[in-house]
Amino acid sequence: MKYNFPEGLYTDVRIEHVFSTTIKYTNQDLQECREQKYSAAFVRVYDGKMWYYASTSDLNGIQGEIDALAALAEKNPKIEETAIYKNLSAHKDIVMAFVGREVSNVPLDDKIALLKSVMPIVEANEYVKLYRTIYLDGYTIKEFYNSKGAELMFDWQRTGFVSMFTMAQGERKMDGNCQKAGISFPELIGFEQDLEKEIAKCQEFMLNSEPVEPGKYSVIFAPLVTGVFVHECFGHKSESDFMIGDETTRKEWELGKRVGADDLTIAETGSIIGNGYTPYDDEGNKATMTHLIKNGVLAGRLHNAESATDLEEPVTGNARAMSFEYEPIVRMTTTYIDKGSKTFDELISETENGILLTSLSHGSGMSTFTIAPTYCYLVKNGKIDKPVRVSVVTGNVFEALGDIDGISDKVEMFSFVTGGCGKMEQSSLPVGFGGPYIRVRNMQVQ
Amino acid sequence: MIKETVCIKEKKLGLTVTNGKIGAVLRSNTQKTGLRLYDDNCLGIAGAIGAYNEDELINNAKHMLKFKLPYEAAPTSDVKRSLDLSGKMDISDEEFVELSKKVLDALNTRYPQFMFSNKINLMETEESLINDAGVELVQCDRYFELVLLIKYRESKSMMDSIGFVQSRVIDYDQILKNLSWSCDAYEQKADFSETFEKIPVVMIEHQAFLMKFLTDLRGDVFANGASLFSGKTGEKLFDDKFSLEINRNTEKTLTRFFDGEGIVLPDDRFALIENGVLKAPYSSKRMAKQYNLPVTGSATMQYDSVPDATPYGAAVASSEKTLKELLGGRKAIYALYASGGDFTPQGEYASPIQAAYMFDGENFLGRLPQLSMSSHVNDMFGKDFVGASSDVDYPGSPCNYLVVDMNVRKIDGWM
Repeated sequence: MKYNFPEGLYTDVRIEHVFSTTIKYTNQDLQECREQKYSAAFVRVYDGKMWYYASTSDLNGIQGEIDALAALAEKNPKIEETAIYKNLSAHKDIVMAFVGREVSNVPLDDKIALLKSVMPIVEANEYVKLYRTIYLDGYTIKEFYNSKGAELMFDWQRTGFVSMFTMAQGERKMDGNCQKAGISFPELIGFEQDLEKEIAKCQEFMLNSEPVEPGKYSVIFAPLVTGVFVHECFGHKSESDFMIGDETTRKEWELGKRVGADDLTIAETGSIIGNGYTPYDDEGNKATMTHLIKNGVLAGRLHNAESATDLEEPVTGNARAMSFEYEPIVRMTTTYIDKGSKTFDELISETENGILLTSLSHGSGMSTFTIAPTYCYLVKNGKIDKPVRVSVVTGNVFEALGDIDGISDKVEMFSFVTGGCGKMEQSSLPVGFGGPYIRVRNMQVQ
Repeated sequence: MIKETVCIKEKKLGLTVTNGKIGAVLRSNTQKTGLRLYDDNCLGIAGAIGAYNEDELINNAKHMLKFKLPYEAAPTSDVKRSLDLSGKMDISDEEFVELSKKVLDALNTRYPQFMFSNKINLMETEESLINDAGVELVQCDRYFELVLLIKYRESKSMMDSIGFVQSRVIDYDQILKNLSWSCDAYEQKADFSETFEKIPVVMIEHQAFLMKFLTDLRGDVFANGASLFSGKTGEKLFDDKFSLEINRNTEKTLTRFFDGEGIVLPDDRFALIENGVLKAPYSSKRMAKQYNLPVTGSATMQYDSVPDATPYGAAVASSEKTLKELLGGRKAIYALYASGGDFTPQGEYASPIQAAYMFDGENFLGRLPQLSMSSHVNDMFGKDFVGASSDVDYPGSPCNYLVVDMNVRKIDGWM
């Protein structure tokens, strides 16, 4: 055993060895060039009634932190009989998925050169007034040990860059961005065509978009937006820590309840390589495949050990912390809507008066979910009509799933380069998301 | 070559509240240090979390200088000031835990129909910026922040209201009062017609309304012609009553009196918009030098990052009037929680209001259904701007009330 774990208590230690790079240009001026490296740890002790946490950057002092927390806790001879203890695992495993292609081994000069290579494309557009080009990467090795005997080591990596630009012509303004995310540096090469298309789309939108007529519409979400929609509209509702001690919510979201059409299936898993990759979660439980909705029926929820205990359901490997400074709470990993049977063309041609929403700047989700779009197009009489400016699309979480009346036949998966998921003080956590094109009735558009 | 050290020490006692009870206690103590080297109009930075070897940091910063990150503004020199505000909150960790339990017990007893969850934190910070050019700036602080999600037990929603208090002053009765307002009024449904053309909306969290200024008054956005306000310096764009300033007055805010480049503002404030007239965008010193803009004390202070422009400390200047006086007897919508909205690049704004109450200037009259509000930035801070109050929501709180006439309509039923 690596540490001397006190008797009568559950204890775990999570150690994070972190490497990251940030490079930012504004126009052609280098604004930020940073490599960050550190190791730090988070320690938890549980006595059957309360959790005691400490975070430290002194890896030699971890035993001292364990002992100090143990002194605050009440020793419990029956700790092993507690339900939460039973929901914590004793896995022993090493899963190093990124060895040999670590971004920490890519020279900083190569990362800078990659950014510089795309700048002329943006620079060439006559309407671009300001642009930023950002490269971000991260490589983390986590170790996990607990008093049940768990010994884990696994790694996580992401890399990507984004080009953000602001166009203006007189009073007309438009912000656009194009990003490419991957899990290794070579994947980022070959970005130019996507960027050229995005710039052309932004220009067309700035010059020709009109304010939308506010009201209720059928909204067709592109796969990127579908991913955010499912995350915001339903994913957060599936995080079961909100349901602890809450009978009303449990009844409302009772497993087996029909909430959507037969072809609606929503899944969640930490096993997909990408931003949400979590082979073991931050309390040592293994990633699972969780169907949140299967064929329109509520089928599962996301858990850490505490929520799984309270709801008497299996753990799902969704306890995640933003960094060594935070405790693991129930978070999504990679969440997506599965494919349906319609083509994109069918979704459009069946729509009399709707909005096609192809990208977004942010979303949020509580009882009312929101999506702040970038590009929207009016759909009239089964055809894409014209670009329209929309501040926000909102819908009711309880009704939106039932209002999905069309799902296309191809799923795309995404990871954002910048941003991530926010949940109270822990923002922002990298997650994956995706889905096909979907059409949702009765969305408020303004 | 000038050496500059940024150090951020943070001690946190964090209480996790689950279903009205403290379920976890976090004790953390972190130190983050950044070492900056300025040489030949370039900047190199290296950082460390926890204990560090200064020679190693210097070598790492020298290595980063090789990438020639331009920094043409001279480092700040010859300014020394030390401010210790930590004694303003005289409470031990143990007493703080006991007080938090007392607050939760009172809430659970008084409002058994509600569930309370999330975080209560006691924060102790020491932030310093010291360099070879004679800068020694230090601020020590201690404050608490309580953010409780409030859920009506019979509601299907994840949360129905939110209680937020942040201050250097502990006042048990006032904490309870702040948390009680929405609970007391929750079960009373207020009358509401489908649509209101221009009704006052009261916001305690200003950022949602100020978002357009935070994006478009950034120095480089403004100077490159990418802002809605580019080229309009000196123009009267908004109402006389509207002034937007960088406020680093530590008596009235929980900000730091210096920024991440060691700038201390005269009188701790800088007006970006004064009486409706656009004065300047916000900038870091480096950005100000590049674009020939005023220095506004708006540089970030992350320990290992190049200082960048941030709207940190941006606030609407308070008027002489209290919230009650601003409303002048008009009924208003108190938006306790409005999240997820946005401005279009042209300045059109829309947002849902997830938790709203009808308000008479002093009391919540009843809960409102899910609402949506909309307007345009020119109207919100022009003809429809009512004002920012002189009073705050809690003793020592940085949060005053912002009142703007908005178009509001019902978008959904009751939760």
